[in-house]
Amino acid sequence: MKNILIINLRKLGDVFTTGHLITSLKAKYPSAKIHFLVYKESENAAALLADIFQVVAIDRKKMATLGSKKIFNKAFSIETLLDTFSVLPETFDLVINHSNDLVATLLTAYFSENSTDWAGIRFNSKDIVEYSGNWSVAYNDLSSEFANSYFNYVDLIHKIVGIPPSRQRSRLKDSQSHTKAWDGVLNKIRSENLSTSELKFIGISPFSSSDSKDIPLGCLEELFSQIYDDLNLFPILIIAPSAKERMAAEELNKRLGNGLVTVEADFLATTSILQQINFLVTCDSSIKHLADLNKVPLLEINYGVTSFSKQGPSSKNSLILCFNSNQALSQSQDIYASMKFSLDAIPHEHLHLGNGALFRTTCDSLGTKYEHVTGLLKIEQQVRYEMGRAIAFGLCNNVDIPRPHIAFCTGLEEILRTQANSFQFILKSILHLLRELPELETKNKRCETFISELSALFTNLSEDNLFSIPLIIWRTQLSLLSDNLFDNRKLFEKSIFELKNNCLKVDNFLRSIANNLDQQQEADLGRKYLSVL
Amino acid sequence: MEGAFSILRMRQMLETKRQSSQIEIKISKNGHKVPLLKGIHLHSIYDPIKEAEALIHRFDESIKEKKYFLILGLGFGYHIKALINKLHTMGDSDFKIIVIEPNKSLVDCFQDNFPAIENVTIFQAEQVSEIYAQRKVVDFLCHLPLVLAHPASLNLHDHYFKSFLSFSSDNSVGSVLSHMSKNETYQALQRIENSDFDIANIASSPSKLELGRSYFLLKAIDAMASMCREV
Repeated sequence: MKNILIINLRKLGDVFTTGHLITSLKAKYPSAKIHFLVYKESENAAALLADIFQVVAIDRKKMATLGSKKIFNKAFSIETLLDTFSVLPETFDLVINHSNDLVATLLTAYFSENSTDWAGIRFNSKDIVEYSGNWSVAYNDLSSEFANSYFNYVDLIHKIVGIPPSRQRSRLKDSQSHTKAWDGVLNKIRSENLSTSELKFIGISPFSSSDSKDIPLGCLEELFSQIYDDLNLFPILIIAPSAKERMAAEELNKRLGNGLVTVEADFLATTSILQQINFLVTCDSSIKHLADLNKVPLLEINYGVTSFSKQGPSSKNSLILCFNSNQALSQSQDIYASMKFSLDAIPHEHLHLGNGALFRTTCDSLGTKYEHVTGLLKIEQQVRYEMGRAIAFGLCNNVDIPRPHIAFCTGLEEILRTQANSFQFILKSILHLLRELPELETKNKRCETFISELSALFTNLSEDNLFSIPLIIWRTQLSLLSDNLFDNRKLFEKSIFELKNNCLKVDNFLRSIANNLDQQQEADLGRKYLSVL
Repeated sequence: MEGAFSILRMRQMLETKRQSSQIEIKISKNGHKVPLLKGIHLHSIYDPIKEAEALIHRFDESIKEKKYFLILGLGFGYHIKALINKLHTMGDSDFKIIVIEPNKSLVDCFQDNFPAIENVTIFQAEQVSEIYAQRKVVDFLCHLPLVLAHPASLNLHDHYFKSFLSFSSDNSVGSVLSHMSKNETYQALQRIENSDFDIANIASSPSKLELGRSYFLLKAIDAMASMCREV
């Protein structure tokens, strides 16, 4: 691999997540030049990723102005974009679409035409989206269809590209002057500290781009007070250079008697700070991803605005504390307890939360996983997540569905019964479709029946229905054939058989879980019987 | 062709001479040069500097928020100097000004009588479309500059500036090609030059397949423009 192009036209946090992929690509292809195409507003963030050969930025504002104002000839839009691309090589060995938006998908089509390989999604000449593989379907369709995802985005992009995620810390550019200045500040705090053991610095980044994701000031006040009371910990407030965050920091400082240590840092300075703190508490996705790249132990505060199953931290043992909203009660106690748990000051059995639910990033043979630690959780949801994850893995990789350990729980039998009903319905629909297919060309009425049968199949797509996974994979194949169903009838028939096989695989998998549960229950009954004896 | 070109040049020279003979330079009551064109004084014959300051003062609030300024009408530049003085008093030296003036003789006369002004570029063309064909002007306009009109110039060239402000570009393939450098996309567009459609509707063109990968580039450009329209 000589030249790799990665396209990510999303926001700052998403641009940082590409850092994981860049580290992994560099580990596998050390001599490859990685070119990173982003929008201008993310250029500075992208430039922090040290393994990049060059960042190429599209001036989206300028492109939008040129393209939307009637005074400008379209030639200037073309010339401006081509000028931006002029620094890129003519061809690439691999083009990766890491943002599934329209512009990135069109540009992937543009660049991949002259390149050896591509990954993700792109348009074909019929304006239909093409997928580089089933993992691409999982990334673009499966995870976007539902609120939660079976695999996080970092894992998915690695699976799409077909490389293992590097577990190494990503190389980030930092500023030596910032690092030196910070060293001085932290040493001064250490020297003034009364604690006998080593002082741990807790970075707290409580503000984000949206008020509904911010940690409320009242909660922060309590949290800082709790940390101040702990002689082994020292809190540092990290804010972005914005008027909104500055004002909130001033208010917090006032409430805390003007003793607050606050750092106002851009991304370059934040990188230096992250390297020197021991733990980060944050609700902001950009700083979270930056810390994740640095392998800084962190606690993400999630108020349900974004799904942590999609965009949660990848580093092992990172924590995610979930609340229903940022108005939830007893947040500060839960945050403090989770933090202490991570710093090993509280054993698992002594960790009790009020309103929050705590998850931990772990890893198994399927990839990154978010394991429930403590707090409120719908057990059925967790069971469905485990089963869905295994199914998605098996179907996307075209291998047998691996069997996760599912312990018996209330509601599990009901879940399995619902799935069995879904299977019966889908199987019936598949048979109808196969029966109608040969008649399609000749009879219009048959055509209508066929289409209504087809749409009925997709009406039951939901997170609860595990058969949605093979159906969504099939839907993407269908879209590629749909421009001419009559000519593609053979391929269509083949794809229906593939769907049927995948559904059978899922059904077998669910049956094996049911059998295993029966055995578990029998064993439990046996144990109970013996204990009575 | 050479003969035709010479005649065209001769005509232009004669026109310039005719226009320049129409410009008369008067001296204001307080000793400043004021051009008189077609019987119109382009600045106050009493105090052109005070008049220019008053004009700029009306835009004080808007000026604070901008770094790019488009001035319609050159005159003898008193309003431009007033704007620059205002920007300097605001502590701003990182600004850019473009002046649009249709009268070539006035530009020549101005340049003969005054030294060049910092950060100011004058664009002169008889046809409005010639102004919009210049990449530097286009790049500048993308910064959405504050437009300041010089009232006397506006009166004098009413039709010209109205056309300038309501200009609509011809986006036929031929016109797009005439504004482009010869690159891969240029060659692709040449293949469909004779098809009669607007480039903005490229997706519905039956010739789109002939564009090769440039089709995706054009669609990406259109998608970025749509984002702005949606906003």
